[in-house]
Amino acid sequence: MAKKKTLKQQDFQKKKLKVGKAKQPASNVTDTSFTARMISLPNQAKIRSAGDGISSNHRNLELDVIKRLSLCKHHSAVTRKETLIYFKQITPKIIYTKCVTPMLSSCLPLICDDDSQVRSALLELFEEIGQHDENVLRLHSRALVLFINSGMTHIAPAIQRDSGKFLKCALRYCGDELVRNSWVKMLKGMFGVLGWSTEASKGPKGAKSVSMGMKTSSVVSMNSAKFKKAQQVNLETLLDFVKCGCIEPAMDPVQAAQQGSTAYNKYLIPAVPQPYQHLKLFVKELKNDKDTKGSKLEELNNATFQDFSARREALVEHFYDPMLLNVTNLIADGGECGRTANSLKDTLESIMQLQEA
Amino acid sequence: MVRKSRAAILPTNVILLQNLVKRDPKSYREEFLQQYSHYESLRDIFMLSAMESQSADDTNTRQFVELVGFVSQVCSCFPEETANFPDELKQLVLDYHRSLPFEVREKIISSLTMLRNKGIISAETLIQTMFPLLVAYSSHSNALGPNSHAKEVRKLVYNTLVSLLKSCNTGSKNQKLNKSTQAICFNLLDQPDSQGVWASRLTRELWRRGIWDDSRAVEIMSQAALHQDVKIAYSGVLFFLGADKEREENFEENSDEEDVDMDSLRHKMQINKKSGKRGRKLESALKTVRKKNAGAKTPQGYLNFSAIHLLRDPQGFADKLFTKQLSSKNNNKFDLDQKIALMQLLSRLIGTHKLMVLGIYSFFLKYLTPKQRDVTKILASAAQACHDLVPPDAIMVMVRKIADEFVSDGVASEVAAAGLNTIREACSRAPLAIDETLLQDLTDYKGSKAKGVSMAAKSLITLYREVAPEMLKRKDRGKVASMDIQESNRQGQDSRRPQFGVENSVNGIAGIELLAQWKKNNEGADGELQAEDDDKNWEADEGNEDEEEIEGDWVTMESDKEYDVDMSDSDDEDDKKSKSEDNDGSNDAAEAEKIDPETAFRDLTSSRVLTPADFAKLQELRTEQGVARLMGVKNEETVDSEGLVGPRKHHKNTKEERMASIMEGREGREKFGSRKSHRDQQRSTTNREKERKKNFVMMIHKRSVRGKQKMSLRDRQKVLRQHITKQKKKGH
Repeated sequence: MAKKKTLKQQDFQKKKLKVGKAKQPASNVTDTSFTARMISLPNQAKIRSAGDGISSNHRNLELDVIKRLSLCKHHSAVTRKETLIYFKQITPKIIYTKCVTPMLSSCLPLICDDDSQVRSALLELFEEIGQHDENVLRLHSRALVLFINSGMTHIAPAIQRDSGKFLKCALRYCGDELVRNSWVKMLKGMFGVLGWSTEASKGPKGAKSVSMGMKTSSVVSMNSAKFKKAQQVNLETLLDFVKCGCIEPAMDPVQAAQQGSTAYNKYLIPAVPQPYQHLKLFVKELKNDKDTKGSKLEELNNATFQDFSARREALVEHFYDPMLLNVTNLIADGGECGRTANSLKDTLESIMQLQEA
Repeated sequence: MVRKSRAAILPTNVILLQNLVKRDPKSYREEFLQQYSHYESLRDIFMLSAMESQSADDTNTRQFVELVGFVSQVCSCFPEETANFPDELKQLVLDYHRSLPFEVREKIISSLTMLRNKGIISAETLIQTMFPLLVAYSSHSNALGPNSHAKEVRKLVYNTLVSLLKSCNTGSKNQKLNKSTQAICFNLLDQPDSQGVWASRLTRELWRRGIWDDSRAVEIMSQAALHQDVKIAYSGVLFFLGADKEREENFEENSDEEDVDMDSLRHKMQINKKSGKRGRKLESALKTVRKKNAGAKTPQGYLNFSAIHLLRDPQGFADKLFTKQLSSKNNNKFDLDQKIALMQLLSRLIGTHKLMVLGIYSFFLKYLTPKQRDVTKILASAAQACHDLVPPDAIMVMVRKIADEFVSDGVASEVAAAGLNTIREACSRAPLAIDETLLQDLTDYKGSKAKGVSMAAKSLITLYREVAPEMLKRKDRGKVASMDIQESNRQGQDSRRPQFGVENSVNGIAGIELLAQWKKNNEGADGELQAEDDDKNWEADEGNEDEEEIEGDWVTMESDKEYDVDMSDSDDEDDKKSKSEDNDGSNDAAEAEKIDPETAFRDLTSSRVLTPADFAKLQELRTEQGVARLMGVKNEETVDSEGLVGPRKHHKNTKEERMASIMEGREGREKFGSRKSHRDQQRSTTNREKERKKNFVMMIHKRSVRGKQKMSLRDRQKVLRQHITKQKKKGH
């Protein structure tokens, strides 16, 4: 008992202060110091000073957008979707401000998002942006292509299937840029999405490999309704893409007359955001020292095709035969797909004629 | 069931796909191609974000890392499709390492290493990728960037390099790779900035592991030692001072375990009944151990040359080291410790190779004062720098300075002892570095009351008794030396005082005349025994053969071989006896005692084979005579700076030493400490502990306690007995 009492008393004794020594910390002191590898100062971000001279209402909107950018990486799919919907709602107000670029660059990775609702929301956002100003999408066409391509090669089948929708949307607003700068890449990607092989027709090589030229996933899910639907959409996309790339739109006689008379269009300020993108002045690509003779297709991957005839030539040389083969199979199956496939076949034949002419 | 089987063939993640592709590459070719193009698209995204200096997204990073790993794992299955892959990785990590996240960099580096291990890229390519990274991350501009993880990257790259070189040099040395890597190291050292520090670190590490052991590695380090950057120069100097010791320690560590085993075996052999089977067992164990030792000591044909011996141009190196680093105007950049290290290296170089760097002796003068910090180290290196080919005038200045500063009545006894000991060390290397008067002054300190001082003075006397007794006072010369001097005076010969520039080289075996003389002396007493003795000499060696074999000194002796040499020995002895008798007849006794080394060598070696016992005796005789010191002028052994002060009576331990001794006492007695820290996991007290701590007053009325008093005597005894046995079992 006595021992306990003394112990208790000790607790309440006041510690003596000593000269030249720091005051002893209390027994219940909590250490609040911390170490951090990085300190982020969001209110010092570069973009903050962007909206000088604009009305404060606009500025607030911009700030709001920038604040919400990180929500694009939120772990909850619902939050991501809602963020995208919000972006879509305010798109008309912010379409001409500087914050569109960061918004797009943080939204683009969502093309490969796991959740289908997020992807559909993103698709709607793109549509909205394209309707208001298609030059925004044109400006970011390179990044768009990269992410669409990454979606096309994604391991999850759902993401892969949906990438066709994105391409279709992009084709609507910046088709010209797409077919010029990433003709072969996108064609290859679409082949991958549809489960077609580019090498199926090549005799010796096809014979050598055991593979059926088809992925196991596409074999297994061949007959599901989802697959059929997606195939339909993707076939349409491919048709659009090929048409956009190979068949010159018939010109108005008035326009043709204008162009024929003068070539001064070249000396005017161009209407598109990046007219010299094909020169790749500010693009870095990995050098490829080894000459790969075996697969010439890979070399064309990053090449640009500025005119219709060059694109047609590339199409005929590398994609025509396998495409025709697969299309005829699809026609035989019939249905919606068969119809689309039939029109694709017609397009292909007309392209062939154009090429031969 | 169905779902499960579908999951087995449907790759839904990269890891699963990797497994499938590895099992059956041909069937999963399409999947691989898809993933490969996914990798390509992600790579393009990364490059885009690098261009626009955005940080890439987390999920993208994770996927990319996963895919890089996947492709590098399986790319050996698809060599055609992935021909560019290693090159792309290389370019990616070299050109974009600033903007890539750390995880990606790490993954690329480890993937490249994996590709090297799989033989897809060559070791040269890997090294060409790694060195630029190492350089890039060691300069300050990159290290300050956010999220750069410079330290981790450096560590990773460095470890990769070391393990790469190690794996390339196991078995046989890959000289081509070593040469190209060393060329890179040379180039790094050529640059004026501090990047060369990696070259020196790498070389040091590889030397320590015995991977690089040629003169080119040493040349790299000599270049590092001459570098203008302090850090690099210091690391180069430290390499020469400590590298060999480090390496030996490294190899000793490796071959520790077997010795214990051997000892116990031998011990068992001594105690147990000796049988043929056990003997054979021991022999076979011995053989395996020896084989292991031989393998461990020479991994990859490693030669035990010290770095200092492998120098290509020691004189040039020492000259440059002195003029460029130590005595140049900008030697202020070195602090004292570094300067001392430089002095030590220079003096070791001079001592080992007998070089001429005359400036160093006057350089030392500045530092040779008792108040100088770390003066014992400087004294040691000053003594080390002396050898018999240096003109005595150069050293004499230094010796006089030491005598003036350190050895006088006004200084502490330790200081005087240190001075005397240093002079003794210097004079043992260059006996002419002191003049007669100074020597005689110094020897007067033999009567000093301080033990250290008198010991030092006496050791100086002992030294000069052997080297040049004429220089000592008459009473200090000692019996043997003064008799010698008298002898030579009587015959009118010139004194045997050492002269500068006269080399005493040895033909045959050093000190053989001593052996001859000893033999002859013994013959007179027991001439007959000699013949049998010889036989025993050989046998004695066989007896303790196994002890020597552990050290690896004498391994060629075979026990079952017959040595026929002894047969003719007795005749030879007779011959010699008769010869010596002849000699006795013609010359006087004094003459007979002196045997010319050359004739002795001729006689002994032509007449008989020297046994190991003979050599042992020879060694003994030589040390007795002090010839070893005269002959050897062993400059290789370093002067111990602590030993210079002499024995100290009241040595106050430093804190570390005290702690070490305390810790030594505590070893293996954890039971005295609190148990609390030894608990394997945190827990509350057990019931038993509570019971023990319970206040006795509370327990005193309990039946269990009271009952003990009421126990019968017999029961009490029983309980006591039980308690004792229990305690004994616990080991108290």
